[in-house]
Amino acid sequence: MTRHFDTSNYEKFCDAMLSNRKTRHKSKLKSRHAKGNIIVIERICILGGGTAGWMTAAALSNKFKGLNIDIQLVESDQIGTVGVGEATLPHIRYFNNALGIDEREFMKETCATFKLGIEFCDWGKKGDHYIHPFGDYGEPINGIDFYHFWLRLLQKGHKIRLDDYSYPILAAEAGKFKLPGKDTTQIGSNFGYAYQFDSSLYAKFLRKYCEERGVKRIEGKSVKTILSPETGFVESIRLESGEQIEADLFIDCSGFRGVLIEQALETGYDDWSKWLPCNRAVAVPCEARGKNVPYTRATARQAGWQWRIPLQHRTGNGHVYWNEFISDDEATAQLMDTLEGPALAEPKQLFFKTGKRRKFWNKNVIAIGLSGGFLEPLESTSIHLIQEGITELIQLFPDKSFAPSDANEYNRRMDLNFDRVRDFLLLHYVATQRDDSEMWRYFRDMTLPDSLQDKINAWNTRGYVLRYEQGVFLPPSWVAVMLGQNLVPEAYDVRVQNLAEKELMSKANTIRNESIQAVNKTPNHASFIHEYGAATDILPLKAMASKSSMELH
Amino acid sequence: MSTHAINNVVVIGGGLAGSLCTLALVKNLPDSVNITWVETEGAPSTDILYGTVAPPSFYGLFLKTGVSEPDLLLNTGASLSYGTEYKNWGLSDRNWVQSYSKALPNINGIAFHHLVRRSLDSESNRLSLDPYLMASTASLKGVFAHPRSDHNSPLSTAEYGFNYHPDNWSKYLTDIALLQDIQHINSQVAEFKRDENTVKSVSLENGQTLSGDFFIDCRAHSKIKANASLADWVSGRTVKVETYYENSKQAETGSRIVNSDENGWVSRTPLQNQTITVRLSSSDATLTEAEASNSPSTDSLITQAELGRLKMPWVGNLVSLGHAASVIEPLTPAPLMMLQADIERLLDLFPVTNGMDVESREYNRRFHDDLTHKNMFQQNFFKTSDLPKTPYWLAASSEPTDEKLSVKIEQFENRGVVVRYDYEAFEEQDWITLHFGLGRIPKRYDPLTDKIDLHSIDTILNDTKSAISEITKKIPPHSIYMNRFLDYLRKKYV
Repeated sequence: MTRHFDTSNYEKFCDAMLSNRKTRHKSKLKSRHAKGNIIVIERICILGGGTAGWMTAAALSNKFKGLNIDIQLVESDQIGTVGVGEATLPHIRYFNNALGIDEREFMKETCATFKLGIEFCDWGKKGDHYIHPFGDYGEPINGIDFYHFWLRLLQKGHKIRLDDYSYPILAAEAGKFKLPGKDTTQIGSNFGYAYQFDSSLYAKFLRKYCEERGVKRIEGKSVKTILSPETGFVESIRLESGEQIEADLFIDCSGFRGVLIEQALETGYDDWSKWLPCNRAVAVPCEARGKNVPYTRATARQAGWQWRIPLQHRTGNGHVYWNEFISDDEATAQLMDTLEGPALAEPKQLFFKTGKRRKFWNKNVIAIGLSGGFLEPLESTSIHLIQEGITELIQLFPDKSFAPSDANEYNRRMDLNFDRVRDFLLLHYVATQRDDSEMWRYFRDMTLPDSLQDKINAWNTRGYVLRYEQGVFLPPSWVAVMLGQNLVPEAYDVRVQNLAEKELMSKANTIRNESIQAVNKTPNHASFIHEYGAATDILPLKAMASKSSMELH
Repeated sequence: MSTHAINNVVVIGGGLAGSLCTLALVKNLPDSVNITWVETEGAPSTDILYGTVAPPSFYGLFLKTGVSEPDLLLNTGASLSYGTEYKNWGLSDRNWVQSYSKALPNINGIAFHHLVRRSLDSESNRLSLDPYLMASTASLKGVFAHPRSDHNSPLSTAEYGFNYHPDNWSKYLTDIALLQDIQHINSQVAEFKRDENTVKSVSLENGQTLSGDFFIDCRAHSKIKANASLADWVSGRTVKVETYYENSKQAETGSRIVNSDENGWVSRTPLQNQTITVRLSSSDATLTEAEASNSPSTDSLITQAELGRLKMPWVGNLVSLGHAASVIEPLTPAPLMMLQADIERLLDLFPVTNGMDVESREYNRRFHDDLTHKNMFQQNFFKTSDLPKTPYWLAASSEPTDEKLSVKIEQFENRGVVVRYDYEAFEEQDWITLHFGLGRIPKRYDPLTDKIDLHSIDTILNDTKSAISEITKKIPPHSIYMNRFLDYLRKKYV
């Protein structure tokens, strides 16, 4: 329970009240027999070595270090990676920190750049653009979110951008970056940041990490899954070589196919195409041109949207689209037309169906990554959902009895994560005036899930955000997208009027000036990466052939 | 219907809910909103059902209303407290302190209670968290001190709340509310004048008719039962509540003590110069005539109360709040926390115009979650198999278990995991303390715990215990601390 009263007033009084009697510290120990856990998991098999597989292996090998748990990862070199470039959310930093990864080394090895947010272009209407930052706007006044005060100023006719009260937006626009300081009361320190990196290099980086910690990598393709005739649990997988891999727990990181969760266990899939109908993507890296900006860009198109992810050595590009309204050739042509520099590889095609597995955890198989579900990467949630899958697995790590209650709770938590991300993604498509193509008209005529419709209504009426604690996107993110896509509330919290307009203006100006001053003192993004020692030795790449498939962000 | 701003608000009802709500509104709403307070009565006798303990988080609402800790201590006889000691709970006589503690630390990423669980001897089946919780240990020793800001001191983890007399609080809050710019009327409500769902005006027994844009009903539940046009009331158990007030010198501990017995439970709450005893039992035995005619006196009060809740506390432009919306047992601070949640929810959603559909929908959604979350914490007390088979205990334990609570119990029982839902008022530590108190020892512990050998675990546990017990020796008895502190405050503030 949180106390709100500041007892520091009483510190002197308290000091006087505590006797200064000297006491000796002693501890007694007794030897005895304590009840230990039995039937613990001893063997884990991870199938698939993409981002999901190696992230899972890294986290488990780190967490279980010192315990008698054997981790094997099966992957095939035949299924390589292209490395489109991948954008992340700030939460990835906690993941890396927990692994004890040095940020500079990580950035060097994965050609990473810093990310302060995502710029959305042409979403609310053609010609619009806004940044969804990792951080709040301004700071609350008397416990009321700052944007309510801004709404009041807006209604009074003041033409000030809310963006001007956000340090991460201003820094992103100026192409600048620095790490937040320790004192988060400083405007220039109160923000989050993430990375944009080459996911194939990240997987490689983590593979090295894992192998140093005893994870056994097995080269091979699985050809058969052997189930227990009594329980239906996965007992082993057979590889092309004939080798048989047995384990207590299997983690399916085999991608869209879901070799274990779907092909073997037939878990089923909740198809969300009705809400998120884009079902294909084409991706291509190109030479970087111009200033290296600390943000990802997502541009709305006629039948989907396009991403641009700046890495240190090149730029990742992709076009996500709904094939109902655009041909593959046309989608590719649109992508190639808008590249800022020469392509560095042949464009790669991807096919998917948005949605999630009916159970992420079924029997002794847990699906993490694309095998668990796929939501388009509009808000860089793919890696985050992998991370959530891993975190929840560690929290609810089973024993050999595989209590159904553990699987149920895991599935409840992951369902909630997916549901809430889905609503947030859908918001981007429906908070718009666009109706210039079949796809946009589809969204205009859609009946929204109640959870999203209620949220939009409460926002439009009075700038209120229906909030939750569990789920990745907190109120400031919803505010960013709703305002960014021209949903301006009719009213604001009445308590805002407690502050005289003059006083409000002066407070607002202070926040804005502090933000601008903080940005002025911030170095350029590219030079910060260099000075920080996080710059890669890899020179900007020239066109280079690369085989095999790829991952989305 | 034309849209216009909310200019006139009518708050109906006295007592703790009415005074606190009026004060919170006047302190937080802009001056353009006129507030009329119809104080229908003094403190209603059922105010005792808000309980006698305020958790640390309640202080947040006081801050919003401009009331400080020194104000409360110097004017209301309230006392500082580490929480509630539960004694002889159920047939297995379980004892534990449900203290206001910060979360126990994580050791190498492993929650502390898993270490405690790991240390369980194979022949023993009882485990106590009390020695590892500063506030619990201090409570049992009868000592008290404010928490320290030095994070290395175990004292920084001991939170505290207030033990209070609901009538004293409502009287004090009323006095302050009357100093504000509000219109105050003493009368009873005769009738609400409605146009479909919208209340147009309320006529009072003194002949006055008050029109308004927005009405807030804070009356005791018994007063509004007759109001047929309210949305449905879901009735729960009926309980008998006996309250006794005795003047007393300081008790042995500053904490509230709750004892369970054959027919229910009895709480004793020490205040500055008074002890409040509340006995809650089944109402099956109807009140004797003598009891029923017992008018509110300063010494004792016996009443029956129907527990329950409204399905929808906000309908049209009328919000029911506090006991008008939900009545739950004062077994924990839950009822007062519910009143706080009602008022804060109202402030968050105070309507901007007379079209209030968005606000009422969201208010009702949040009310439902808030009540479910608080109820399930209390329900947990009754989800053990070793309770007496008497009417009170049978009725309390046979209430249907909320699905969320089932999952919580299952996860903790099996493996010590605390399942969380959005915006629960009781925190993770509160749940861990309660589960352990009820003897719910996890069957297995976090597998990561095996990374630490048993000897090291014993050392960590012993060190934690002795650090707390050592500092406890330095802390003065609660009564001495309170007396000196009051002297200090009088010198400083009076």
